[in-house]
Amino acid sequence: MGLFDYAGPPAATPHIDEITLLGDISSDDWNRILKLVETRQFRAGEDLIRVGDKDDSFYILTIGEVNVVIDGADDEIVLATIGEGSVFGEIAFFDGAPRSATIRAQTPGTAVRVTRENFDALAAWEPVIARQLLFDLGRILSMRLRWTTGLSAG
Amino acid sequence: MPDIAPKPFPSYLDMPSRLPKWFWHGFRLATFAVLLGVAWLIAVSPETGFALFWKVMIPLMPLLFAVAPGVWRQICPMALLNQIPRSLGISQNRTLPVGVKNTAYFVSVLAFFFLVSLRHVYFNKDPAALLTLIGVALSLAFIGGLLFKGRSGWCGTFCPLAPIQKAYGHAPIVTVKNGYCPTCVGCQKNCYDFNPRAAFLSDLTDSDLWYAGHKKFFVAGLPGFAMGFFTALDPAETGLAAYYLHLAGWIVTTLGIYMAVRIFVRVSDYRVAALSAMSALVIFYWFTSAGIIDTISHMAGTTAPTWSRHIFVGLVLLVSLRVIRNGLSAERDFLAMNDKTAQPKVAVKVDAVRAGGAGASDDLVAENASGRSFAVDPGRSLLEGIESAGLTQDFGCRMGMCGADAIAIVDGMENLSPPSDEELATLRRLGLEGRARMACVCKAVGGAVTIDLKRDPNDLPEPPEPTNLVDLGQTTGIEKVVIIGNGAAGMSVADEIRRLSASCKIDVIAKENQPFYNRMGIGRLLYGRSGLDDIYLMASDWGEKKNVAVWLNTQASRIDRENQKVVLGTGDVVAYDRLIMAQGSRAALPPAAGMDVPGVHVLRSAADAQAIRAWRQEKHCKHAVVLGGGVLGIEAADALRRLNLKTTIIQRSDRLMNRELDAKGSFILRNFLQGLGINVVTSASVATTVRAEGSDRITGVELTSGETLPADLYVVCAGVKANTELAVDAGLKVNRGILVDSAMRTSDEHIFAIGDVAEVPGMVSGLWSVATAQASVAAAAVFGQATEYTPPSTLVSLKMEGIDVKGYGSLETENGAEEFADGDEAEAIRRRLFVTNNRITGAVFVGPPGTGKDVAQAIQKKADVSLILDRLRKGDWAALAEV
Repeated sequence: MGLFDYAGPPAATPHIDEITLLGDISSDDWNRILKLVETRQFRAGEDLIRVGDKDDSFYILTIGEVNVVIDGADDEIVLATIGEGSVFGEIAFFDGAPRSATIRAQTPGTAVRVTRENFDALAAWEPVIARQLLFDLGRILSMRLRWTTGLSAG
Repeated sequence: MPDIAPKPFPSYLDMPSRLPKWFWHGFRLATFAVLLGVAWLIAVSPETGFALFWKVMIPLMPLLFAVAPGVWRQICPMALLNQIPRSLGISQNRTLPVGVKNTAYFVSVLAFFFLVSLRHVYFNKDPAALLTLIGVALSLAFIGGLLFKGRSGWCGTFCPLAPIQKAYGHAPIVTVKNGYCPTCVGCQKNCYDFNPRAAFLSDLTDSDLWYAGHKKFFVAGLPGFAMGFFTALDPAETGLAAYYLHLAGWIVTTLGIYMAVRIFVRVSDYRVAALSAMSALVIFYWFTSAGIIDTISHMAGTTAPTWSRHIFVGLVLLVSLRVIRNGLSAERDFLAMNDKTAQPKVAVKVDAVRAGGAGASDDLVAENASGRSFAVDPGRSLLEGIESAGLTQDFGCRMGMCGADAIAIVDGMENLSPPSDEELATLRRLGLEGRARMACVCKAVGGAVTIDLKRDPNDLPEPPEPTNLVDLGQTTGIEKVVIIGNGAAGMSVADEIRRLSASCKIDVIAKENQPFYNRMGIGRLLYGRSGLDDIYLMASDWGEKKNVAVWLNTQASRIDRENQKVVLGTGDVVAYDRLIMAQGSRAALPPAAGMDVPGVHVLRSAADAQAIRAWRQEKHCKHAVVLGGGVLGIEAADALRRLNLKTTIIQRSDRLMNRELDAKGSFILRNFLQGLGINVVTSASVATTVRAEGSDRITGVELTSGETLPADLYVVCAGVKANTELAVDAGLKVNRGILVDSAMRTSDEHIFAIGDVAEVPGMVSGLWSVATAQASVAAAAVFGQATEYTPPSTLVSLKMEGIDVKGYGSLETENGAEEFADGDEAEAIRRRLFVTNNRITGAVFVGPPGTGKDVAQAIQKKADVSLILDRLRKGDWAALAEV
């Protein structure tokens, strides 16, 4: 929500700026998913993702805050802060290319980590959920791409 | 859940109404009445009227703007008139065109400068002019309200007072809820009424630099304008041109200062703007405080002392500092918030995920190498905890037998579950008892544990050796033991023998060119990056430490039973008092034609795995066919899939793992594999391999049904054949394996056979647990101790990520077993349990990870299940965890 999203007349075209990953599934479904993925607890200052690492997983942050950082010569530059309920690392999940930035925990917390291997298992056990997950991830990617395109255009 | 912090930028919709509506209505009307009264006074008694208007009312407004701009926005008479058409429902509610929206501010800025400058010319002295100004302003505000919706016809756009009110009130000390808009109609950009704390910030940081520039221009020129205004001489004497030149000179001066600061100092626009606005405020009161105080005291009939005006200016200075401080904190929140809101938001229903177990729990296990600590959920193994924490740890059987995941326990050993017999045997083999645990089977039961994944447990201080050991080699005269084979059987028996006799000479003759490794891990050699390093099971100095001579890459070519010697392929001869044959088995090739075509592989040893990996890369393979739908075949197919090969399993039976699973369990497994993209063909046999004309290697596999599957890699996992040749040549009794008695003795009393190569009456086995159990029996028997081999619980488990498949024992009820079952194909879980005399005698567990964990432990413990039978009958499978 922007600061000036006036709750007034609806815009002509609906503008979706929020995606809920697997918004429709139940706690039971989440239970089944969580059996197939990793739950990772971290401390403040811990790196969840390191720049340059090759690893094909994405994360769902369930507790805590993490920063997207670039380590400079003698200090770290925080590019953004990611809050609870966010998804990150999905690009490498798709293309397997080295990580483009470091994700460092700002607070202690918990994240769900989904690797390609996990996803394969999920797709085998829960094809409907997996399809929805993939679709949601696609929407997240495309939305972030639009946002980036908007930045370079504006 | 953490407390929800108050919103840094509440919109008016989130603000509380501190005062009732009627109060504001009254306040508005009163203000309007005061204005009319002053106007009347100006008309009838200009001197008093002007003094009241210009010396008291107008000069006090900037202070109100700085402290509580919202109050003015509520009570302003122009706003009142502007909103009348809206409340009467007669407004045309037009939308301001975007272009006008963006330029309105500039218009109001120019109007402000111009109208204020005219004070010296007309409005300060000409009642008619001032009354006209008031009248025109009120009328325009009303007309604006008639035409345009919300407050966009005047207040937020054209009103000449708006810029100065926004500048002084950019970070209000007191916010007041906008009372004019029951619902927001979104009439203007960055509406001050909508979000007072953020409006000016948003304006200055607007992506439209032209739009933002107008705000900067005003706020930068404002101090100069104030200086110019108050220092100007009467235009009637100097002439208008000189007057305006004077004003313009001052505006340009502070505008220049603003720009210079922006250029030379690394500071945000907002901060410079705040400073600029507040210096204008101080300048304003520097010049007007005397007039205000004198006029008020004059009206009150007294004379205020001169110092009171300094106090007044001092108060204004304090207010300014307070506004600046507010502004700085608003900017901080704004920047922090923009970081998050700029990006499209992705949300997960965090509560649901947490409820599913991904919530916080106490860190109990600390891992030294990574500095990470994590919790292990009740009932889960340390290995699962390690993996969940995102740490990597090699593993093998996941049953505590292979020894692949021995991890150093630095501290808190007593807080882990006690080891089972199997685990203890493994730890002993590795010489790690008391220093390490097999992560796959041990659980954290309570209290803190410190582990170190990078530390070799051998480096930890050794617990005191048991001292009462008798050297059986010396007491029995058995001085030389030769072992053929360095697999699980061979190495276990070597270790056991050394344990029983410190003096005995032990030679291990190994055809393998690798030290003892985890055969169950060779699938990972196919797809993994780390090569053999991960699968070695003993420290490289094990032989040296234990005084065991291991001959790698050495073949035993003949056994001279008469002279008790083993002749090696190298020409060396090794004498023995006791010989233990543990040379294992090899992959059996089916009788089908074309098995000599390049591209036909088996997967039995590390070398096989490396050859397949190399072949896949050299030949750019796309299709793989695996013959055999047993555990090994499925694991091989999974490894090939991870090598990005389109893989097909051919199974002769009508279902996968037909020996261990029932039809339903097998069906679930098959569905899972197919979900991963592994093709499964059952009830099929291979007629021949196919080599297309002109090809130098395999191109396909032809089934007996006539169908041909494309294949540039064919991996045969269709059972094993015991390596009995040496025994046959030596004249030992051999059936499918080397025949042994219950003490693992062959037909030659000096020769024992254990592991895959041995055949206990009626049984040859390829299982790790069998090999180690037989090794224990043989080691004792070597020294003449009477022991009898009893087959261990042979739980078969598929080692594959994403699915749990366990099969055990007999799936028959004919012997009086009680059966418990649930699950069907749709449920994607199969649990079937057979209990005879309160012991588990058969089981099939197929499902998502964790499905068979409890039953596996119950089986390994040989648990008495009598207490949970009732619960099992009710379908309460969780009861298995409690035996």
